[in-house]
Formats: sequence, C-alpha cells, structure tokens
Amino acid sequence: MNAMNALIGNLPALLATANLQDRLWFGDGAFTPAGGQSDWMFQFIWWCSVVAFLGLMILMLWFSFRYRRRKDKAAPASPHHNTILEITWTIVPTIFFAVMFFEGFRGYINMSYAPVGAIECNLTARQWQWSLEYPSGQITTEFATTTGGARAAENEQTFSTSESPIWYFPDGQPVLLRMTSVDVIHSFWVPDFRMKQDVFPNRYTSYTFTPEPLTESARLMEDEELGAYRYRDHLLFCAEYCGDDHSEMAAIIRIVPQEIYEAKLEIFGSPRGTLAERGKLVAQQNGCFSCHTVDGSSNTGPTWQNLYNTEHQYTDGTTVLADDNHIRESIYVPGAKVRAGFANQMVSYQGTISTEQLGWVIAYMKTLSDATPEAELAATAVDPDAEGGEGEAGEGEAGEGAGEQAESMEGTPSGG
Amino acid sequence: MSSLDSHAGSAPQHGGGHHGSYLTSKGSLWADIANWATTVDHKKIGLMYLTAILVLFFMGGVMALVIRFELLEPARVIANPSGEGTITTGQRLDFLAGEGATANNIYNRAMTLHGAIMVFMFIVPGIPASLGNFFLPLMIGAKDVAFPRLNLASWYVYLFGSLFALASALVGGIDTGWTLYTPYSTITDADHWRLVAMITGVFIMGFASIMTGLNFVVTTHKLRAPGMGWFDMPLFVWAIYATAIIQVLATPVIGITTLMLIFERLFHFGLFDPRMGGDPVLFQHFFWFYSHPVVYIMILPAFGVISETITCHARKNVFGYKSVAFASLGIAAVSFLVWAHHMFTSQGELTAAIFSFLTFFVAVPTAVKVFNWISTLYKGSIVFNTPMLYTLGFLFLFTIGGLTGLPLATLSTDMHLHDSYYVVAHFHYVMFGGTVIALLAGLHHWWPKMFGKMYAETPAKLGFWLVFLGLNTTFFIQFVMGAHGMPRRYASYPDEYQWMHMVSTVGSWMLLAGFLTHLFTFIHALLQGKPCGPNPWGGMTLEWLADSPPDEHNFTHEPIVKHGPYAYDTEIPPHWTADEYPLPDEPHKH
Repeated sequence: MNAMNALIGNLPALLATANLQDRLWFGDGAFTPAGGQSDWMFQFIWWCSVVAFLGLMILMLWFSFRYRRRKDKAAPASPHHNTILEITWTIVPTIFFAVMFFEGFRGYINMSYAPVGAIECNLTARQWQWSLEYPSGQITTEFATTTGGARAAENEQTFSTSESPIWYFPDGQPVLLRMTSVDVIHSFWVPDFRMKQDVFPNRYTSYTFTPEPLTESARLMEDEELGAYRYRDHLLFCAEYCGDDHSEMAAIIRIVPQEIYEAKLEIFGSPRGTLAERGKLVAQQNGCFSCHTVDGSSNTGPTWQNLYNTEHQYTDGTTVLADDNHIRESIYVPGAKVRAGFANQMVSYQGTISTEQLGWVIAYMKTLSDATPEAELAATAVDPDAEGGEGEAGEGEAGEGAGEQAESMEGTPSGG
Repeated sequence: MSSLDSHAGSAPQHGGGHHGSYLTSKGSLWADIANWATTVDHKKIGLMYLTAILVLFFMGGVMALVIRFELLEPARVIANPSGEGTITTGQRLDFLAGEGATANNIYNRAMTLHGAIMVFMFIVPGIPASLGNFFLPLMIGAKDVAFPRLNLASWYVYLFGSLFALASALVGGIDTGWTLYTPYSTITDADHWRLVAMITGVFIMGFASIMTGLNFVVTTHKLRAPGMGWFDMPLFVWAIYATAIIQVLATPVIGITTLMLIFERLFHFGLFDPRMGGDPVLFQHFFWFYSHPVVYIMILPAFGVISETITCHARKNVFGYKSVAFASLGIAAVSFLVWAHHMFTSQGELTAAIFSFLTFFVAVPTAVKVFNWISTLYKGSIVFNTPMLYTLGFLFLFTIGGLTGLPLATLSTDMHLHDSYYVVAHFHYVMFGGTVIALLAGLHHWWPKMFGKMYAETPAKLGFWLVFLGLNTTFFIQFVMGAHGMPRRYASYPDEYQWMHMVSTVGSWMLLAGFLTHLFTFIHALLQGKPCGPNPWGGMTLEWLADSPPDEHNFTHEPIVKHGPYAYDTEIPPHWTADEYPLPDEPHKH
C-alpha cells in the first residue's frame, strides 16, 4: 500500500519531468547536446505519428461498425473519388515530411561536425576489439566485462569473453575520433549519444561527441589513489555485424572530471610518445624525409608544411583538399593523384606503413599545418597561453559545450 | 444490373464444359505426378509455388523461433562448453554447427538463414508467383499467362536455385547475415563452399523472378479480355504489373552482384577487397540497388490483395481507383532512387541528405494508399469474415510499419536507430504485418476459388487473433528495445534488455500457435470443406465468373467486360441474394 501511495504521490512529479517520454523510449535522456536534438526530433515524429495513427484507426473502426453488413441491403451509393480531398491528403503529409527532412538534416550536421579544439584520438577496430589512442599517446590499461550479463556469472558459465576497454574522457569537452578498421566493417555506436558511424578498413571516418557535464546524480567512485569522484559510464556497441563475437565487441566510455581524466592519462603512461611524435618517427624510419621537407622548401615531393587540410592543384587539373582520406590515398596509392609540378615516382607504402602507423603520421602532419581550425584559433587568440598549432585540446576550453557544438560547423569535417 | 456476364449472356454453369476442373485426377498417381511436373497451366504452377513458399515460410519460421528462444536469456545459454547441469540449446542445435563452432556461431547461422530463407525464397517469389500466377490470368479473363512454358521454366529454375541454398543450409549454413556485406563475406574462411552455394542459389533464383516478371508484363499488356481497358483492370493486376516491372529491371542487378561476389570468393578479383584496392561500400551500393526495390516487390502485391479484399468484403468501389493504380507505378519508379537510405551511417553528408530527401517521396504515395483504403469502407456493407479481419489487420499493422519508418528516413534520428532492434521491428511490421498478413487475407479470400471448398470461419478467425496479437507482442516491444540501445544481430546482450526479449519471445510462441491453427483450417478445408459454388463472396472481378475450382481452361466462355471491376455499390447484383450467396457466418444452404 505504501508503495502504491508513494507512486501516486510521485506521479505528478514524474509526469512533470520533461524527459519522461525520453525515459519511456530511450531508457534515459541523451548525454550530448546533439543527441538531445535527435530525441526532440524523434518525439516530434512520434507525436505526429500517434495523431495520424489514432485518427486513421478511429475512422477505420467507426466505419467498420457503422457500415457493418445487414442482410439483403446493398451498400448505399457514395462518391468514388473526391479530388479536393485527395489533393489535401497528399499535400498535408508532404509538408510534414518536408519539416522532418530539413530538421533531421540540421540535427545530423550538428552531430557530424566536431567543435574546434576537440580531444582528437585515433581509434582502430578489429574483430572483436576496439583500441583507442589518446592524443598524448596513451592506451587504456583498464578493462571490464560488459556483456554476457550478471546471470552468466551467477550460473558460473564459462564462455570466451573479450574484455572491454574503459576509456576516460573529461565531461563537457568535445572529443573527435579518427576511426579505421584493420579487417571488416564495424560500426561505432554509443546509444547514450544517439549517434553511430561505420568504421571501414579502407578509409577514415570520424565520430564526435560532447558529453554533458557531470551532475549530482552521477555515480560516485571511491578510488584509493585519486579519492572520490563522480563518473558516468556510456556503453559502446559494434552495430555492424562482424562475425562470431560481434555481440561482445563493446567498450565503456567513462566521463569523469577534467582533473581525473588528466590523472588517469598520467597513470596510463606513454612510453612511446605522443601520436605526433610517433608519426614523426614512422616518417623517419620509412625515409619520407628524403623526398619531403617539413620547412616549406621543395624537394622531390611536396613539402609537408601546411599540407594538411589545405587545397592543392593536381596534374589532372583538379583541386583536392588534403584531408585524412586524401593523405591515406597518397601514401597507399601515390599514383592516384599527383601534385602539379611533381613527377609520379613515389612507391606505395601499403603493407609497409600499417593503418595504425598511418594515423600517427596524419597526427604528425597536422602539427605541421597552420590550416587546422585549432591553429587558426591560436593565431587569432589574444590569450598568450593558448597552445599553438599542436592539434591538441586546449586545456582552457572545457566549456559548456552545449552551445558550441551547433555553431562550429566549420570544424574538422567528418570523413563520413 | 450486373453487366459482367459471359459471352453467351448466361451465368457460368457449375462444372460446365468438358474439361473438368484443373484439379481433376488423370487416373493414376503416376499420371498425376507426370501431369503436374510437366504442366503449363498457370493455376497448377501457382499452386506448386504456393506450396513451396509455405514450406519455406515454415522453415524460416523455425529459424525465427530458434533465434527468439536463444534470446530468452542474456548469457549465451545456447551452448555451454562445460555442458553441466543445464540442458543448453546449443546441445540441441549441435547439428547446425560444424567442428568447433561456438554458441555465437550457431546463433549467427540461425539469424542468417532466417533472413536468407524469408527474403530470397519466401517473400520475393511470395504473392506474385503464387496468388499472382493463379489469379492474374483469371482476373483479366485470359486462358493462361502469355508464355506458359516460360512459367514452368521459372518454377524449375526457382526449385533448382533453392536446392543450392537449402543444401548450403543443411550442411551447416553461413553466418554472414542475409545482407552478405563485404569484406566479411569475402574473407571469412569457415564457410567457403557453403557461401558459394548460397550465393549461387540466390543468383539462380533471380532468373526465376525475371521470367515471372517478364511473363506478367506481357500477359497484362496482351491478354486482357475484350472490353477491359487499362482502367478496367482490378487493382491486384495493377499491383502485380508494377511489381513485374521492378522484377525485370532490378533483379539483373542482384544477378551481377552475386556473380561478382562468387568471383571475389573463388578467384580473388579484389572488387570489394580494400587490400587490393577494392571498396567494400561499393558492394553495399550494388546490394541495395536491388534490395531496396525488392522491398516493393514484396509489398506492392500485398497492396493489390488488400485492394481486392477490402472492396469485395465491404462491397464498395475502391475510393480513388486511379490514384491507387498510379501510386503503385509511382512507388515502383521512386523505389529505384532510394537505395542508399540503408547506408546513412556509411557515407558522406551530401549523399545521406539526398537519399533522405528522396526517401520521403516514397512515403507520400504509400500514405495516399492507406487513406484510400480506409475511405473505401465509408458507406460500405462490411462483413467480418477472415479475409476482412486480415484486411483491417493489415491496415492497422502496415500503418504502424509505415509511420515508424519516418524516424528512419530522418537523418538525425536514424543515426541512433540504424542497425538497432527498432529497424528489426519496423521491417517486420512492414514485411510481416504487411506482406504476410496480406498473403493470409488473399489465401482466405481466394481459397474457395482455388479449391472449390470453404474453410471453416471460426478456427480461421481464432488463427487471425493469435497471429495478430502474437505479431504485436513480438515486435512492438522491439521498437522500444532498439531505441533503448539494443543492437541487431546480437547473440548476447546486457541484462537490462532481458524483460523485453522475454516479452518478444512469448509473442513468437503465440505466432506459432496462430500459424498452426491456420495449417489446421487449411488441411481441414481441403479434406472436409463444404462446396462453395463459383462466387461465395459475390465478387465482381472476372475470376468469380469461373468455376470453383476453375476449369482447366479457366472460362467456359470468353468473358466480355462491360464495366469496371468494383461495381459493388450500384445495387444488389441480380443473382446475389441471401439464399444463393449466404453471409459467410451463416451455415451454407444449398
């Protein structure tokens, strides 16, 4: 009885909650601003659909009852068509569909573009594991069993399980992942962020999210080393069927306060240097600098200075933006596009420079370019402390995120 | 005054003509087998197709039950390697797996076979090859299809192709998903020959589809009875005609695609292999360039069936005949332009935007059709027999299926819902709630015509309610599950989804009960059904002029058409009285 009273007592509060519908449909509200927009869109379509459905079904049932068959009576005559009615019911849905299309496209663009200064990580997918490298080079050392369920543990069933990595990210800070796969197609889906993106073996795609700041309702972690801190876990699923253990290919994205994120990176350590440092080493080891300079002077091949994210002329007359996928092509299939003024004499590095190493080289090339949004921001910034051209997240930018994302469409484009 | 009369101006004679019904035995069992195996009669070929697709529907359904059974629990109970204590489903299903197959592997095979059987072998041939074959010539007053031998060839090609696919399934099956996405399907080694066999089967069955489509296009153009203009055709004929056009134009694409996949596997062409400069997404474009139009190969005939059943059992001319007919053609045309909406998460923003826009275009004519059907009920004389219940059930389920497609066409919401259980629920509401329900409506509607015997209403209605409630129980919860974050094709899942999976599994058992009830009513009707006369529903389309079951050559006299197919609401047809054509819920008086 008490439980009943409590429920009835709480009902108005429960109904007043803005995201009650979100909870019914999604289990919880979205944890990114763009995800919130997507939920709003879903609710709009849902309520249009409910009204349309109820209207149609009530008509259908009422007609069925009102005009049920009576013996020996023919159906009374009625018009076989009505042009005005038919035009109306063609145009009205079309208007609604147009609204859905435009609003959906707007929300999608907001979801696809990362704000300037995002924490830029490299992500590699393989059967059946995700691995992520932080911009400063660390790899997580924490893993958890996320699928298989508690029930399996109770029954002490033994089955092969792939452990899922736990990745730490600071709350409120935008994150951008440069993603590729080493085998088949995977798909990066974090339901809490309402966004997914396929991950391909032959190109880069990107995924961005700006997690909402932690609130008082977030869970509390008692850590011996770092003390107590609040955190929020988001499950990552693989959403493109990839073989036997497709359903175990998960990871946890753990949102923590900025200082905990930094402390965790400290703990993870980085014996191999930042992604950019490693990229430089890979370039040195593979002899890239015998043809390419980094100081702007011309050599056998074009210089890498200011190459990334700028447009260049090619021998076939086209102009191409040197983005992630163009650099990938130029290193793996050098003859596909040859820069105007240079001969086609580079050999393919496919099989020599791995997909993972290529990601490092791109991170390195990015530090050489003034054309990245981060570098442009730094160049115009008044703040003398702002980091210049490093392609890393400015420490001071852990902002509200919410408003930023919608306005930053000129940010790093998604590979898509 | 009915002007839909036979040439001689007299009502068709019961059992008239010297040929006898097409079901008449040739004397001995062997003679009958030889006769059916070599028949060029569209009715017999239609019946053989019907039998085949129902058997395959049963097999695909068993796979669905296996899937739902496995998903009862989040842990992988399906194969417990230690095998102690619990009887795991894995042990029961061992025959499906080869050496060293894991639990996930068994689930993935069941999931793939369910999709492959249901799509390629059941629902694509589905209504056109069975009911279409049987009724298209009858409804336009023809003796047969334009190319009867091609029709028989199509049946054998289909049989031959499905043998490849079934052989592949019986020796272990494949685990690629029915979509066969590269590079997984080209680099997975475990199932090499089974994969080649399955893809070859799909390749071969494509030809059957093309032959049938070609046949129907020509039949519709050339063999209409005297007096039947294009706008005197029943809407089922329009729907089958639009379907046939898609079959002829789209199916070659899947032929080319499967051929490339076979070459890729056998000879390592590298078309889709990134290590050789190929592109895996290219396969997705090829695949969906066929597999999206094929969605309309599945659903357009269902629209056709519903247009027939709703007019006949509500005794009303369909509201807006021309807009329903043109909507079929419009959908057929636009269906070729929306394939990439299956790939919003695998392509650039501009492509996604264009295909999202085009997708909404296909929604308009579909919505218009639903409005037309519901308006047809207005001022009708509606009887609640099994075909009508299935028709109303179709309107209910298909409307849900259509409306829940809107968040999938909208880009920002699709980013979340794509490849989740929401999509699974959506296409089951369309394919199952649409096509299968329409097939059941059509089967009950035309059963007396095909066999000359009436099914029993009460158990058939029970079957309807079990199927209808089971379908909603199984699939509605999956919308919520998908929005909560449950991905497709998962053998295992986090605990929080378990209660929803349990609800869904219970629904699948209700569906089983419903289909077994229908199996019983159909067998009962064949053995003990009451004779029903040529026109038990008082239908106005031409097939009701033929005997039940029809004469070997369909009509004893060539029919002449003097008005449209749905002249129900002018007055009571002269020979339609309560005595002669009793209301279906009354006992038969003859």
